[in-house]
Amino acid sequence: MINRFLIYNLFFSFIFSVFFYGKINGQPVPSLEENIDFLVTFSRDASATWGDDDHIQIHFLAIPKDYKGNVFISIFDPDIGGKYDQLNGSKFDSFTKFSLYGGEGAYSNEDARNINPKGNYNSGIQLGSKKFGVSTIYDDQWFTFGPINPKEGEFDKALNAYVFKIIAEGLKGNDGNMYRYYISSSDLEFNPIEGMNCFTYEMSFRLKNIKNTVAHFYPFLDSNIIAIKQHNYDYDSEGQIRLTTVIKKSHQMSRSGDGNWATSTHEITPDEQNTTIDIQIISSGKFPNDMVFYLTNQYGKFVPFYSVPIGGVPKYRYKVDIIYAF
Amino acid sequence: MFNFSVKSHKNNYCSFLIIIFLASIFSSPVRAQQYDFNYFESEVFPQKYIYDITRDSQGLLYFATENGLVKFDGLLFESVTKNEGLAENLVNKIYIDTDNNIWIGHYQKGISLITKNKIKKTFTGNIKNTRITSFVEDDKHNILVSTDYNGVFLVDTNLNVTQIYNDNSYKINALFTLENKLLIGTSNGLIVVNKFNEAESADAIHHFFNDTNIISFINDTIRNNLWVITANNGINKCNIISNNIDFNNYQSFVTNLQLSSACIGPDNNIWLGSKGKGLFTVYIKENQLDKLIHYGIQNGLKIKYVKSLFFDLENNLWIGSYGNGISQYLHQEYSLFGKNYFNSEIEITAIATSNNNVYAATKSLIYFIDSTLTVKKIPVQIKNKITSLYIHDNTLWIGTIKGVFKLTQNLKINKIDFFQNDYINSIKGNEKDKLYFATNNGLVIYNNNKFVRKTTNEGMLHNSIKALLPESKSKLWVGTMQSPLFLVKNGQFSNSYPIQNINDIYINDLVKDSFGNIWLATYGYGIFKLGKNSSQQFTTENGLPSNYCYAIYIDKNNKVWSGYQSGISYKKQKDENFNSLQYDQQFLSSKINLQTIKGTKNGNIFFGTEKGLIIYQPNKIKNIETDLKPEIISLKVNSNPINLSISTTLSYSKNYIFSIDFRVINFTNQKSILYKYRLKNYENLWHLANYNERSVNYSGLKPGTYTFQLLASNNNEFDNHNLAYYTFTIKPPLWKTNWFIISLITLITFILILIIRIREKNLATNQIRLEEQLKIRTNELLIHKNLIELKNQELTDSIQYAQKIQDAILHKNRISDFFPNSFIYFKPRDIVSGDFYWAAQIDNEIIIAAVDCTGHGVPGALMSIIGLTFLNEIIKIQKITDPKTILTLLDKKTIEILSFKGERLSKDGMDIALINYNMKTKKLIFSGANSPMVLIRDNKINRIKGTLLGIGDSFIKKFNNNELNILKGDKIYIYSDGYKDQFGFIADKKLKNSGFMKILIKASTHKMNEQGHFLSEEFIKWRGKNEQTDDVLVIGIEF
Repeated sequence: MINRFLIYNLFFSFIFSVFFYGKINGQPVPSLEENIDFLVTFSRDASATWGDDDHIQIHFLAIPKDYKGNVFISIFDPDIGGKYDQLNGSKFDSFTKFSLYGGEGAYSNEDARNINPKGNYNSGIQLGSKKFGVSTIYDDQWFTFGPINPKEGEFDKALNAYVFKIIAEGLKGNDGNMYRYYISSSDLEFNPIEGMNCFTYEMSFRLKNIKNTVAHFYPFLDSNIIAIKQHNYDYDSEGQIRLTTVIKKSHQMSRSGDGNWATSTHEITPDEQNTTIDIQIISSGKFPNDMVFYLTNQYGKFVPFYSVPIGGVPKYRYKVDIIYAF
Repeated sequence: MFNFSVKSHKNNYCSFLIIIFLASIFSSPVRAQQYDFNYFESEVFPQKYIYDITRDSQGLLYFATENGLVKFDGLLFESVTKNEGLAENLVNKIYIDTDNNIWIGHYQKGISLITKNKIKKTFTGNIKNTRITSFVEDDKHNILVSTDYNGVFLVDTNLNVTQIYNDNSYKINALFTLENKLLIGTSNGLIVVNKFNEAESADAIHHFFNDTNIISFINDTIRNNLWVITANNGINKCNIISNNIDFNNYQSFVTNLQLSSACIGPDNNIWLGSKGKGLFTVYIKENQLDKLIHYGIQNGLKIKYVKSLFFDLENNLWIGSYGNGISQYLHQEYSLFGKNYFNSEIEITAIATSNNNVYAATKSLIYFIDSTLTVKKIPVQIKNKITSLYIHDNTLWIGTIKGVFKLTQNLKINKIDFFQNDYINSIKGNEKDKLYFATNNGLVIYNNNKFVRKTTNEGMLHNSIKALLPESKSKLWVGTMQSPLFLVKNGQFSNSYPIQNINDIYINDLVKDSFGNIWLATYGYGIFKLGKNSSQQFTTENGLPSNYCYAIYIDKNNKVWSGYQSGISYKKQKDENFNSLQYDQQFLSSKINLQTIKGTKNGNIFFGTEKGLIIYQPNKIKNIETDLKPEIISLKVNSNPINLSISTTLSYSKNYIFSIDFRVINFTNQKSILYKYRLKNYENLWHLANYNERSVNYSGLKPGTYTFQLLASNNNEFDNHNLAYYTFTIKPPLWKTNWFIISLITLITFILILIIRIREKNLATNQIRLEEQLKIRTNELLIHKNLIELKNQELTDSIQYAQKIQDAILHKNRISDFFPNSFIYFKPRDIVSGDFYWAAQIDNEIIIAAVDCTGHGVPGALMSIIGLTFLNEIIKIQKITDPKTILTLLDKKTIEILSFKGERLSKDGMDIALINYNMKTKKLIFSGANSPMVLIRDNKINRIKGTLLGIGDSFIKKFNNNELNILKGDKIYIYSDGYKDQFGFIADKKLKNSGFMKILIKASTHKMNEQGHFLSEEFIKWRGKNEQTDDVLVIGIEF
């Protein structure tokens, strides 16, 4: 049965995607692969049940060491108000601050990689900061930090990249700010920075409001991980949360309800070590749903997930040989 | 834009201009001026992020980059990084204090301090993990440092660090001090801390400019203002009154710009760098914004994000970008209007000027450029290629390759039929009423609305008229392609002027200077300057790039500008030769078109080139120091650097290699620099080196003091006042040092003295010994002497006794017994004599002999006894009286007695002169054995020789007799050779026969008994102080 509403939404999503992604070769965060339209940060007076447990969102941008050009970090619709943001109350009255950090400690500091914003999470050298309140200036527009010298990031040997940290912090108010990032090498057009990746340890996001659309998270499991524990918050039991790896297909993960956490632990076999796994969160499409997700390993350490899956999207390896006869 | 306060006749120009302007604003868009920026290739300067720029007192530039501190002297970039000791490679801020120490603020690792080219110290501590954003020096030479979010620190002269302000609410971007006030520019306004340098009473009391992001301060000492530069609220001018800044009343400008950097230019205008929009210059006049110039991609600046701005000592602007490296804005006085402005047709073929406005023509289009250099295209198009333009009487006259057009006030183009298809080379007019057209078909004069053509038919020298120079109302100088320069007066040919005997000069352009000299640009002969009574030619030997000159112009300073295929050349009034423009801007080498150098009243000069219009704006010339200061930057001895602040003395070595690096800090035209150097005391000649030959090596230097001397020039003239030099000394080897030599000499002297003393001592000892020996010997000698004397006395006594015997014998032979008139001069040499005389009478025959026995003294005396004895035996006993027989027997007996068994025991003998006088017959018979007889008769002397051999010679000989009759008065002399063999004292030779004869003749004049005495006196006189040579015997007889 043809669902007109679905078609309508698909069509506009397509248009939306084309508008935002078609001509855009930049690197959006969240990425196309993640299939998440917006990151969300609620101002600190908002209840956590709105889908943001801590009113802070931290993302890391890894710029390859060999990259010599400029870095521009654009924020789509950073101000409060407009058609995307979540009104809480009778009118918009909130503020969000976006801050960019580089330098030593921006990434390597333990507090920065904690999902809870405490301690020295804003470590490093602040390269820029901008507070947005209620305005229409940036509705459907971008605010850009840059140009940024890649060497102002913190060099991480393991990543072989200069890492920047961007913190979105809800300040006064209770509205929800919907936004996304774009990383580009140019201020005039969105040119991708080859080899660049973005990762976070906890994401507050809005699921696409289309039934059965799948949001993905792509954590990379190193060789030390033998088990993972997923944590999701305020999923409202919408649909399914599944795990797919190279040897697991659509394993079910626990789902949270409204304003609570759900966790589930999953064993990781050697075959799955050093691979990217795919955690899929299916939307029911009933209402705009904001939620939080993060992942820990067997030691309780936070596992980052990447906008660009390392090694690509995992492909489940069937155990039975399939021969296609044409 | 337009000057309305002009003289009446120029109001017409203005009206014309207004119409043109109004018409053109609806036509093509206004094109702005292009600017020329110099960019550095990434191979030369790879750094892309320039956070800060400054310079030291010498003018050396310093760039703060993501890859360390980079120094630049105009030619070479030199990096100082972590490898050399910096705390971090990323440098965010640089400051050079009054002691020339370099403070380097890092991104996260604090501060590095460079003192005397060495990294002295790095500061971390509180300053670490926070970005250094600003440095400032207070009047006590403390350095104040601001950090991002960690407050402000004070580093005192002992390098102790204290925090004087601590508030991390806002980001701190800039600091400024005024006496005891500290101004802190933050991301949320200005904080003023009073008495900041008095720790106990420092307090932050005021906040100003809330909600503005202050990025820097500029102290405008000319206007006595402080400019507060903000990122989001423009630039704000605050007055400084008595060292107090009025922050309550300020003026804001350009508040719409997003700024990132600012500085004040040499022209006292504010230069602003923006985030994303390039560069701006703000001109403030009487507290009003007079002008804002934008430099962006549209007019030459490729940099959008300007991070830092700085003017060097030569007033070039350096633009540090964020992501696009460094750019230099130099030679603002030259700029090009090129293709971004003229679209498809960019070659400028004609220019005309009117006051401060310019008309420039491309092939078919005409542009109007006003005094602000804003360009508008005039909405007309000419079919034929435009060759000349001229404004006259509200009309723009347009000369083309086929005729003349007029552009009137209502923008109507009219072709002038008179010209038909004439090729127009030039259009000129005088101030009043005449226009002149130089065509290929003669000279056309326009006067009183009439055109009149003058060709060779009307007396012109040539029909192809190239250049014109109206001199007065009626005079016109005319240059053609093949004739001398000539003058047209009142429309008629007047005079021609061959130039330096060249009759067919191809004249491209004519102009006159303020002294009345006419300047010609010629095709193939360079440039001529014609005075009233003189002419001067300038060719490539005088600096012209070519002898083919297409355009010439003289500005109000009498500077001559000329155009060639290879660009522009100029000559200042005081210069002897021309100079080519030698800047890096390539467009300055563009081909200059015919007669396309023109100037406006404000001093701007316009050049029509194949690449567009070049504009020279002298008001943009910077007051730069033209002195080039050469600098010796390092001297290494075997790769070890030497401290150049003091002279160096090196110990002796033959193996030193000296490497000397030098430079001139110059950012305007490094490539024109020439160096001249030498090492004095090693070489006399100067070496020349190009701009990029900045090092020299010397090796094999002998001990001595050397001075490396260096000069630099950018116009082939070296100014000795700017001599850089360094002196060093190589010590001589030990054995050549003064002290060594002196010591050696002293030692040698000492040794010599010692030797001498020892010798003297030895000599003295020897002397004493010798003296003793001498004494002994002397005593011995005395004894021997006494003995000898005794013996001698005995001998002498014997000899004297023998003399007595001889005298006794001789006494018996007195000749005077036989001849009363006679004498015997007998003088023995010694005590006894070898000479003797003998006389005897036998019957009537008297026999007299003068005998000279060999030898004298005792041996001669003994022989004389033998002779006497034999003569007695032969004559007295054997009664033989014949002289020759006597001699024969005497000879025989002498030989016998001196031989033994046939062997001669002695070779002695005697010479004898023997006479026999017969008293009865009066005949005299003479026979001589090696002894003559002299007869003087009637005062005539006759010498009769005897036999040459003497008695006793071993040869068999035969003696002969010489007979002669004796007359009365005859005088005969017989003698031995003693008298004649005597050496004279004065003459120092023997008397000889000749001398003796003379004396005899003289003697013969005396009485016979006086002649002996006479002969004695003469002998003594002749002999003088000489010793007597031999025994002397002379017998004289007068008959």
